[in-house]
Amino acid sequence: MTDQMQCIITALKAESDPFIHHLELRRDPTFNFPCFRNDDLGIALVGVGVGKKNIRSRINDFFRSVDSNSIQFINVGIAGGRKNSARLGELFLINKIIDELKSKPYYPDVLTNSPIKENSLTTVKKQIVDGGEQYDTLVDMEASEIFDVCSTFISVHNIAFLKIVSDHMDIGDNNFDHESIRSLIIKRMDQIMDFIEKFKLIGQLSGPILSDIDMDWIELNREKYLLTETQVNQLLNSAKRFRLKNSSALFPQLDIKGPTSKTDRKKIFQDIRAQLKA
Amino acid sequence: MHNLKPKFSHIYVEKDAIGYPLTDIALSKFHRSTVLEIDHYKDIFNRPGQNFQIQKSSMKLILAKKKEPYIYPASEMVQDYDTPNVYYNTPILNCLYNCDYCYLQGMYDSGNLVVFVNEDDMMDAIDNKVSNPIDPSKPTIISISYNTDLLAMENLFPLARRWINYINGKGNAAIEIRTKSSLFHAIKDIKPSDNVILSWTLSPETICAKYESTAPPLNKRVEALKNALDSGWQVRICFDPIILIDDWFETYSEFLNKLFQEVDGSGIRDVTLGVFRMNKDYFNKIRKRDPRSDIFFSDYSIENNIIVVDNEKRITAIDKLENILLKFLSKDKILTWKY
Repeated sequence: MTDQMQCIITALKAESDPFIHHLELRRDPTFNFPCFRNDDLGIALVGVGVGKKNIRSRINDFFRSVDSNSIQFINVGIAGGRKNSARLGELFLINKIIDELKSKPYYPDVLTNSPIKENSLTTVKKQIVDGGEQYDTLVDMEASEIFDVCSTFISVHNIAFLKIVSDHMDIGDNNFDHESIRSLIIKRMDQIMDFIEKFKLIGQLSGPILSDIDMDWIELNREKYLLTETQVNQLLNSAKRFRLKNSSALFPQLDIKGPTSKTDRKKIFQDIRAQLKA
Repeated sequence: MHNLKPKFSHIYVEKDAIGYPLTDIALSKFHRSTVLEIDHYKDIFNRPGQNFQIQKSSMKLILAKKKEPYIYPASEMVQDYDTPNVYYNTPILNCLYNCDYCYLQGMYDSGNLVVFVNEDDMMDAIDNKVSNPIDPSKPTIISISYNTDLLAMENLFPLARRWINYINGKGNAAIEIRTKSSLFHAIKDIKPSDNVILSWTLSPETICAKYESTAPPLNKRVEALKNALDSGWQVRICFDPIILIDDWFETYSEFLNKLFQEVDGSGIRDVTLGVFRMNKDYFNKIRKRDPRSDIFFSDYSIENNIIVVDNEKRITAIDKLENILLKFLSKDKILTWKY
């Protein structure tokens, strides 16, 4: 199990390409949708396409495939912004997401100390081409669904949204060319990567007390001494207490023979816990 | 940690809270914060999937208007104050400090801080209780710092001051302000009131350092308490929770003996004494999150849905510590929780 995985979620190929190149991501052929990864860096990218329709299934498939005890999702993409409040190419960290079809907004936790300016975002169903005067936020077509889906898997502090203003909601599909979007992302790559690095540290604050090696020790003893479920839970608590007091010490090596009766098992179990307390 | 936004980097303001004096104070105090208008504080505070401890590292401020109920009956986990007219209210949800054993981390999903700005509504509710006590022959006591540490916030929000001014002169009623703060000087200019009990929670230095590391150290709390006593306030000392570490008796007996060399016991209104205990659901919720405190991985009993040190051990501990306290205080001044 890897310690931590970060997953960038993009809608367009033009948004994905700069990350694939920058992070040397390789296509993962096990998925029938765009999924790229670099396991050495603990980072992946999932393309979800434009709009909400593929988001749930793709994030779901990806999440279930990841062998990690801690995952973070970062949605990076373009957004429309009103002419008088957002400059083209400007990068924003999103602190509020309104779904135009839902009554309750979503609030990502903003914990990472980043210099990126913040803004709110509205997720709409159809592209806005009339200047978007009715929106006093940025506008995209995926964020609310991404938040909704990701927050069913992980804590909200592990989900972030970065948006680059690509237009003033006054142009149609035909004017979004691959190269200009790619260029917007590349220009902001350093800031985005700086954020992603810092964001990673937030994810590291919430790891489990027991390591994989510690859990193997529990499992070994469970099997060897035929421990009941209640005993395993008690052993877990004792092991956590031990680990909190001794961050790097090894658990005691037990040289006790397997139990011959329930009474014997109970005695062995008490001995193990006593050794952990010592 | 410098990778985290500073405390109160964001202020979420409920629409209904706009225009209240406390809202204005908060917004002017934190004028560099990002302000977001919200419909209801629960849209932020009660979101699913929050991590209490991580949010505590970069707390956000939520300003809201409290809706009824404004006042609640006291929990059965507090000591018997010899009156049935005991209540608490919640001017603030959550605390600036983050003590290991605090039940708030099990009570709330969020580590963020909610300040209710409509104190007048809460005060009206108290007026109503004071006028209609369960037992008219006994005083009415309201703990106003139950799910927070009000005095710790005094430099940010002058709430303790406002509550003291409100209760002052109200006959048979008193408010208790429980704290670990050293900020007595923030209210030092107020004339002491018979209607106010200032309660300091004190623990031995080793316990303060290990389990209350975000609160002021023992010497600062004792200094504040002594200043309050010298100024003529009614002072309660809470030895609660007693944490039964391996050498608890030596640790606590040395602490109590030393404390009452510094503090004149005859000047203290009373003391409370109780071991660590917690609602079982809160405890289990906290333990599931792998808290970094050995308190949650020790052995306890469950009695009436309360996680507590087992009966024999806790009665022995309370009795032994009570015996030490009797050297400095009369028995009627020692309020114990034995259950």
